Amino acid sequence: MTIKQELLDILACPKCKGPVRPATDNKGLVCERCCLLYEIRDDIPIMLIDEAKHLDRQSIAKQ
Amino acid sequence: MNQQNGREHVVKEYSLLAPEYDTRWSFYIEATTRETIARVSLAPGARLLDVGCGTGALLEKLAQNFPQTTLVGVDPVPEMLAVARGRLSASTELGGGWAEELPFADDSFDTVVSCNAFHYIRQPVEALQEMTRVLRPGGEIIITDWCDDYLACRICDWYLRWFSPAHFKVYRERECLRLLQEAGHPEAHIQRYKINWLWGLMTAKATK
Repeated sequence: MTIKQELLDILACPKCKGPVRPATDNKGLVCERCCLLYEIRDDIPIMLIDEAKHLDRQSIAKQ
Repeated sequence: MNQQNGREHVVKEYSLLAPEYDTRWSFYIEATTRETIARVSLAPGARLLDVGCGTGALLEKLAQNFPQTTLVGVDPVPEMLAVARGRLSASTELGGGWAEELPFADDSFDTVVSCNAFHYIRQPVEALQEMTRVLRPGGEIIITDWCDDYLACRICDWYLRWFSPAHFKVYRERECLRLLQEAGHPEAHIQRYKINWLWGLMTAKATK
């Protein structure tokens, strides 16, 4: 199950408060500004900065 | 104790407690959610955020009382959220998140509530500022928690500060008002009341 659009519209990166987008595999949410990938676990987006995966600019663009 | 250590303790304690949380604290959950709901009014179509939603007891009651609303809960403990997911309909949205770093855009909610979570928050003013940020202008914050003006709460608060690393602090009514004022709510007001002969709560309300 993907994250519903209504939730996506209001979800933001907890670090920069900027927008997040679904990763291409729908298994996470991406903040391009912070280069962070937030995991979606059992349909629940885990928007915790400490648990987010930090990726370099090239990798985040591919997510 | 620094903020990070405190947070780790909250996650550790509640990830273990999650499966039995609802049965162990049933009286307390029933009373606190009942008292909070009694102070919430939501128009059809309104969007509400529950900060520290835990196992979703408040969200479940809100869904019954206000069926034509959009309900969203955040909590930092995935195990608690998993219990919430199991009891709530798919229309209630859930997310992992700390109160001090809410994962939502500005002005996203008509109402922000928090029930039984405030005494775990390491940076209460930052959390209140975040609740205010995600609230639309004119929206309402409603927070229910223990009240340290009651002797039983004060003794329990003192005990837990020594023996439960997850616990942070219970506030008196005037302390809670001061936190709300620091977070930009000079108009905030608080009701305090008992839920049985021993235990006392308070519910704070503020408008953006």
